[in-house]
Amino acid sequence: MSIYLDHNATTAPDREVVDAVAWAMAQAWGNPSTLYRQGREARAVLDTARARVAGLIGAADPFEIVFTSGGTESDHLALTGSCGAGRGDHVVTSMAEHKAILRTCAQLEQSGFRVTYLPVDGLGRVDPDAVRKAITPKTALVSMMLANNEVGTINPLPEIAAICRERRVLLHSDAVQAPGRTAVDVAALGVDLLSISGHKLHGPRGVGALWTRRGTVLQSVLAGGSQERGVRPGTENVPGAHGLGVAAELARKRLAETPARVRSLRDRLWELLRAAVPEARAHGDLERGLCNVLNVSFPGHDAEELVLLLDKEGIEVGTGSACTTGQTTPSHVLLAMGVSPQEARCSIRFSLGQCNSQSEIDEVAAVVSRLVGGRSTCHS
Amino acid sequence: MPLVSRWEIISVMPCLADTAKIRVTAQLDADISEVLPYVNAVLKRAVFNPQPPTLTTNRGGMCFSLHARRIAGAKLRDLDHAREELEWWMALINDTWERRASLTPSYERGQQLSAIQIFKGLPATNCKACGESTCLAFAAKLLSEKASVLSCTPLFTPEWRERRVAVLELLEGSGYQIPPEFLA
Repeated sequence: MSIYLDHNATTAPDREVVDAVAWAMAQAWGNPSTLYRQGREARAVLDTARARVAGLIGAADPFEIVFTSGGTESDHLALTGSCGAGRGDHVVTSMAEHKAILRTCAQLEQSGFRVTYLPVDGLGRVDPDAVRKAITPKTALVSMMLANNEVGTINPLPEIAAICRERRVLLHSDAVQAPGRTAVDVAALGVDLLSISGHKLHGPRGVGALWTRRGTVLQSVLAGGSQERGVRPGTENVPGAHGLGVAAELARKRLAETPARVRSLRDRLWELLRAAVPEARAHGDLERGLCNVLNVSFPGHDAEELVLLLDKEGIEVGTGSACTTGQTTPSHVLLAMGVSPQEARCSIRFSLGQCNSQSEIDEVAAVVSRLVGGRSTCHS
Repeated sequence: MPLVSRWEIISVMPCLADTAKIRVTAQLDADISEVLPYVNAVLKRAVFNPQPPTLTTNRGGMCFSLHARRIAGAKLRDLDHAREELEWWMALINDTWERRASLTPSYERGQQLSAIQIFKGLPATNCKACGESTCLAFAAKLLSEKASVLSCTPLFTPEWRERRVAVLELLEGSGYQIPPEFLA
């Protein structure tokens, strides 16, 4: 038996995606930058993919989509490309961002840029007013994720976008966890840059996209040809993009039904766990956050040990980042939310997917309850 | 009667710090939580976390983390090396357990910080953004891990960057787990 509940780490590619990638590798292998038939056919595949990805996020113009190698590169390009375009020397972000944002910000700081890391509240949300106060005349970019990967909380992006528009500051959002789980519409969000990742929406690994509002000037990180409007040089990953396009279309079609069903399963899991383990605590915004995330602390139980025990039972879940000693480092997101380090070390993340069933959820709840109930690894 | 009779390697992965080496996790057939403070006393340079009880230390260039029912090791050459090291840890754990009556358990970290030392690294503005009335009170909470340094909002603004880097290094060097996302 194997029950996978770590869909925020990665998702299994849809069958149609696998077939699409294989087809493109065999049939659309041309270089899209060339003038002859093989190249034109590859170009057509690429542009269709672009349109599909644009359709998923409500982008008016497919050519606002820049294909990258994934969410990390999209985030890096958004930050360094904005800061390198001479807009200013200050970035505003939050402490709860993904490490791709935080580590890029650390690199920018080492290059002389200034970064403000805003706090989040107990649910993991950024206060738009804090963004307003943090922006200065030298702010080049505000970067706030749409949905948090650890706890699923959704940030108030439209309010933040209104502030950024008023202050004429670019707004980027790492939306990697959102597509397929909640509606993403770049116009409604009001962002200028948006990162997505293929392997988070049952697409291929190694491919993602950065949506860039027309007119947004980004400095390329790579030096090379003029592919992807010169923003991201390098011969395009046509099979990857094609797979991402197919995944995007499937995700868009599933939005009508899947999030509601997954939310119902997630809520059931929490109800069962809470009933069996009264001291368990859920983190994040279950009501308004992503439909699939349940981050729970089981006081007195080491998270990594729990994950290993669950793995032995055929259940796969996530936890905080592991350092090289094998000891679980508490999630910086939970710490930023005010959860104590002791409790954060006892937290595991269940992230459901479209393939999970009620019987799986009931089994997981039963196993967790058995492992956690009445047996503490904490000795006072 | 030894405390631990058997161990079983349950995970072998590439080492994150050195890709030519491995990291290994072994499951134990007994709960060693009670002996960890004694092992901490014996080792002297380990870092002990009481809740849940864990002990982390370096040994011969390798990193080990002892938990209630498992031992994790990193920077190991290969499986044979891992098995040798695990046997060494079994011997230490069982020997320490046997002579625990003659030992004084230690619940301290290897390098004990004071609240004052941490306080000196904070902005000292008593802004209460962390939820505490003073920076010294916050420092005390940090010391006992009832709060995280991430709660000090001013520390994460450009004006306090140098101080932030210093405080995070101070805490990490004393065995406090700092999210790697914020380490320079």
